[in-house]
Amino acid sequence: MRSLQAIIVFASVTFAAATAHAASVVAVGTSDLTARCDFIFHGTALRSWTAAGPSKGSIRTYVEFSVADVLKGDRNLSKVTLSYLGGVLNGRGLRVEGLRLPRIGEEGVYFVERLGRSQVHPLYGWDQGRFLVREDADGRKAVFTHDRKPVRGFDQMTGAPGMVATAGHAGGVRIADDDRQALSLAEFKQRVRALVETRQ
Amino acid sequence: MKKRIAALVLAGLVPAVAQAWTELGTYYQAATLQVQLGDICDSGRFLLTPGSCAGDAANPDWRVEIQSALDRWHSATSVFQFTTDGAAGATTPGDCTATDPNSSFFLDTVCGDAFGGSTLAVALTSFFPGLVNLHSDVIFNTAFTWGAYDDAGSNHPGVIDFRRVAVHEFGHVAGLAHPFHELAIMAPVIQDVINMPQPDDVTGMNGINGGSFSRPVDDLNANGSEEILLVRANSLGQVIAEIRDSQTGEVLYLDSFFEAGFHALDAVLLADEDANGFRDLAILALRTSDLQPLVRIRNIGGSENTRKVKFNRFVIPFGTGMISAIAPKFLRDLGDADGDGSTDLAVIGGSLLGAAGGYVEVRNSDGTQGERRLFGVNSAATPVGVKTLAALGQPARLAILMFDWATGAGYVELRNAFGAQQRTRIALHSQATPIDFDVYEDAGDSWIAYLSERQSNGQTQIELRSMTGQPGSGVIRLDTRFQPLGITAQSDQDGDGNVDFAAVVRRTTDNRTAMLVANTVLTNVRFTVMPDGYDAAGSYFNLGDSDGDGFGEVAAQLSRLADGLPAVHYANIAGPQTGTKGKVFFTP
Repeated sequence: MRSLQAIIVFASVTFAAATAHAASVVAVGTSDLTARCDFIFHGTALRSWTAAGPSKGSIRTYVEFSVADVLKGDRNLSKVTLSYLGGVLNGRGLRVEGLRLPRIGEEGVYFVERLGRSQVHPLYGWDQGRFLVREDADGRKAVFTHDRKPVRGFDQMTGAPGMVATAGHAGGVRIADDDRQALSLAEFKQRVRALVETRQ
Repeated sequence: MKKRIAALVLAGLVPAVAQAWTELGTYYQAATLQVQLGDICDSGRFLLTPGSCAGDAANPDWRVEIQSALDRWHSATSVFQFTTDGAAGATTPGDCTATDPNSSFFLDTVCGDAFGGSTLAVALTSFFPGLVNLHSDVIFNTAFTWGAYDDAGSNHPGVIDFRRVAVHEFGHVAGLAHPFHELAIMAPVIQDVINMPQPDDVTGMNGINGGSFSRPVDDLNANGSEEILLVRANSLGQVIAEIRDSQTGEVLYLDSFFEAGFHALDAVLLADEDANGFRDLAILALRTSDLQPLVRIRNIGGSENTRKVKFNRFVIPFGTGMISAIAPKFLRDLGDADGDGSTDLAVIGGSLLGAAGGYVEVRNSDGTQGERRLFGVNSAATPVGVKTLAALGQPARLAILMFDWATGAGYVELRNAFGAQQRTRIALHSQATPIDFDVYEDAGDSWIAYLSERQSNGQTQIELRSMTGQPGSGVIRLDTRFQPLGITAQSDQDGDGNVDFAAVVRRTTDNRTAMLVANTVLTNVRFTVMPDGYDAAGSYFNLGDSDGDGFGEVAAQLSRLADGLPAVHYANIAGPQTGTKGKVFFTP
């Protein structure tokens, strides 16, 4: 039987550290989302992997999405890769509290602030710029917030200056009481496109 | 046992209300964290120090304001403290390594990545998964204009209140995550009206850094019902142990078990070790001043006879300070497994060194050296649960649920506390994160019921495995709106010849605690929702048939949302009344 102390004495000191982040994020509005993002798409998370970031000790998680529809930005893209700060690499981890990575297979509409730039979080307003697409009780593709609340409206509104949020809903996003009241995916896209065109 | 695959999807329909504090899952071993404050005087649109670190009445020094933010925590609770060091340049901005000093500063990037246009500040904490924190930085974005005010943000257009954000971020540093209600400084959306830690924040801070858990206790007053133990830290840092009768609510024991400076981790009720006619309570704690793990044992009633058993202390240099290379988590009573006349206590924890993910240490409860045991349990994994197999006739055998943080999957390792070290590893679902487990015996075989969360879509699932590694009847999967909390196995409660188990989950749509009960053949599934106005607070256990109605009960430690009053609710897992059967409130 090996004792723990023996293990410690002879072991190379391979610390299995992870890092957690927590964040404060400005409360944004739907107008901010459509105006300040250069790429808005409907897609599905395909795979993810981690790699070292540019700074000492930094780790990034990359998530590759298939692109089903582009609501704003380059319409020729069939796949995009988004970079999130944090992940696990070679026994060391970096986690961002309040930053929830999309699960593989997750289908959604994503508001990317600047495609190709590595940010702490690629979406403007973090989870405020992440909408999930799920089938509702009737088998219809409908749109939900990041915390699974049915989206009933996507109305033009700017964020409240000075107010601080981490995982709330964007101003102008109206929540329904029942899944059946959620906007269909087609309706949601139509409203986003209308706001995008308004801002251009 | 009949083999059958079953799948079940349950949906929650009740609108959201509130949820009490939540934790990040790791904590600092020491009760004080020193934070070095960087020099930000030459960058950013910063109203607090426009071009001068000295500050003045109109534009105060930001380091004064950060101290003000930290003092808001200090005035609310003394369980966890921050100290500051204003040595400019002591930190390395942009360095993400864990050995750098804890720091707070302003910068325009985080680990080389852009903040983005909406991110105000981030708190970075290095930690060992499932164990302890090592290092934290709080970084504020220079792209915003910062000020200091207590009134509404709408009175200060374009200026962010620095103190409010700092209180929130340093709450994360101390281990708090976001609750889902708004009556907390840790809320996902910080309201204008809240700029101080609220009762829910303080309860969370005390629980994470001082301890908060409940356990079932044998029938001490011989009235036919089991008792409930609640251990928690108060705002003075004292660890309070309280035992109440599960039926009458009568206080049977209430005392300050540890003075300030201890972090309580686990507890067991022992036999009458000192033969004075009273049972003994043993609580495992980490002394935060020198990171010494120890078990303190006291009589439950009668004369005072406090004893302590020191366990292995292994402190190593890390960064600018010291850390414990072992992180004790669980305490188990093995009885007199080695036959030397003294009860054997087992402490199971995680190791921070790569070659041993977990460890087991066994010592005699009377302080005699006895046949001491200390051994490591695999690498790259963290223990998340431990069961003794005493109920299965193997008192000195441990089943340890391990979380492999490299793969996110789990397994159960069976180890002997004494004798030959036969290792048996039971693989669990390879794509599910283990949350909790229990052991039971069925048809002459030993089994595991375990609760996990699927990595692909976050579904809660319940599976069974025999201790020979054979899969059980199948899997129960819940809608993704349920968050797994705990699981217990029971004897056959509904008389159909099959063992029952109860999984405790949180329904995220309304944050109510709920209980899913099923047979081991995954039939006769029932779902019970605990009352509104309470939230799960950490411990779930079998209470036995405390009310004598012929059906066992599952108990859940809860916190009353209105005022944070600690409570334990229990419900029958079968029989005519499967909703909440009773509740016990503890001393505020």
